Amino acid sequence: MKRIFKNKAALAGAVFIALVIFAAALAPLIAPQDPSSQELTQRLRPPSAAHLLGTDDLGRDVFSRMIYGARVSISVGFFAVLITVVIGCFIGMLSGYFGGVTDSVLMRFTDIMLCFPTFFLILIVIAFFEPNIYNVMIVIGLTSWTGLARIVRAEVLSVREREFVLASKMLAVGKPRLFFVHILPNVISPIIVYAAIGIGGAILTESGLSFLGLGVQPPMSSWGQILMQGKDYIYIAWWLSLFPGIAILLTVLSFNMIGEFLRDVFDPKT
Amino acid sequence: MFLEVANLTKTYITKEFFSEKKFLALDDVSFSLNEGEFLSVIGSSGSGKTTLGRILANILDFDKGSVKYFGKEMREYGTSELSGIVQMIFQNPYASLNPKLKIRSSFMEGLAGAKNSDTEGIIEKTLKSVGLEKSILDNYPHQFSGGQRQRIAVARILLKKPKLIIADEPFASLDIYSQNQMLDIFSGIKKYGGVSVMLITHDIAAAARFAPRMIIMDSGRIIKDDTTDNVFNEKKNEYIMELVSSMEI
Ligand SMILES: Nc1ncnc2c1ncn2[C@@H]1O[C@H](COP(=O)(O)OP(=O)(O)O)[C@@H](O)[C@H]1O
Ligand SMILES: [Mg+2]
Repeated sequence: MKRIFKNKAALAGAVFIALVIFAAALAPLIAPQDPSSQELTQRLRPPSAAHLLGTDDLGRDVFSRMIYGARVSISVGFFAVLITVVIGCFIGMLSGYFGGVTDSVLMRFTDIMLCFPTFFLILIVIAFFEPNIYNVMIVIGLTSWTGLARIVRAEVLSVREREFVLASKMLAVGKPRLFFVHILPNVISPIIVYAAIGIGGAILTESGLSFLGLGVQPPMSSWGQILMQGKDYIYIAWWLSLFPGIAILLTVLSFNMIGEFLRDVFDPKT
Repeated sequence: MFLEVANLTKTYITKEFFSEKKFLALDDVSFSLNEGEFLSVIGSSGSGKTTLGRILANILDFDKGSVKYFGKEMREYGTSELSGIVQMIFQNPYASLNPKLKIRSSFMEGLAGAKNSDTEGIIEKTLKSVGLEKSILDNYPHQFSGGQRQRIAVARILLKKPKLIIADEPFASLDIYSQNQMLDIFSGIKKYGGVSVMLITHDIAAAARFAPRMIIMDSGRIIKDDTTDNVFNEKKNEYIMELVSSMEI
């Protein structure tokens, strides 16, 4: 725990993420205005004391919309990764632990999933179903577990041959304990690292989808969506594109920094 | 006869992209061991010692031949029955204990299934026999040195009261003090009687100190199975001479 204070980038990342989560959780208290109240006399106003980050083409307060947008980004990030972790771990562990035919079948399936360009797969699915926040979470989760499954499989394969596992096996320790007490806790660190980086990736994907109009739908706001609206006014209202862009960038960067930090903590050798 | 190994053969198959690479690690290995007998298995690195040890401990499959404990094929024993017959100590003390578990939790695995009331007493006595205090149980493996971890591993398997302990280069990564400590622990085991210890090592000096009988391996074969005295007196075989002279430097 002390080590994070030495790693300035990870510390900054953690603080930034904490702020974003805080803002998202307490959005109604923090947002100075209703994110969807339109003031047509105040359209496209640059940042000022009244509107910290300016207003959009309908006169809505960008700062307030971004705080509510953080809710979408953060929850998409976490839930999509939750789905990713559950599926990736399940497949990776089955594959690594049982080996043989189970392994072959699951890994060929993973290879096939890996062949699809994820973003286009997501586009197709979203275009087919209704674009809303739940579908976005589910689709991102369902399409990004392949890398994790392979990592988990490789870890399980290596841990189950480690001496302490063999030693416990010889002491006639039961299979459930062997797996849940000896193998699982020793493959958890790469999963956490993958998850931290994966949250950033999911947020980026959601922003991309929203930018294409396939993410969350109005009146709900998300960072990618504000960015998309801003693109039509980029020459006259730079703040509409700049601030959500920075928010996405910093959030993804922060999760990556935290992920890198955790990687160093768990694996000091590399 | 307690342990009979006959015509044991093991080939490692490494799958490459389109081909398989085969490596004959054990080639027609036969020997036997009496109850309570101490034996050193020596040979240069890659001669198949670990392979032999792991097969006898039932954590590695073999291709041909037979391994019998008390006249019964090893493969016919159940895991739990076999755990009371053969146990193994590994070369790398740092990998021998689950890093995420307190020593107590790892240690208790040695007692699982044992129907004895005085568990605490047994634990204390066993730890004492390897020179450790009971307080170590509340710590994690990383808080101990290689030598201490190796002794914890020995104590843990002693809880199972195995008939054969296979120690695969147990002091290869230890300092000379811890090495001697381990040798003393094994000598202590000898005093109980009834427990055989098979020491695997590439260090002929340790082998000579350890047991009156030696098996010398080379390229997966046993090239000599004799008393330590005879091995030192004959010195006919070049390979053996090399091993012996390596110790005299
Ligand atoms: N899992 C494995 N796959 C392929 N080859 C192996 C494997 N384990 C050991 N070998 C090979 O078998 C030979 C004997 O290995 P080992 O029994 O570990 O020898 P020793 O313990 O005497 O050094 C070595 O040449 C080694 O490279
Ligand atoms: Mg070896």
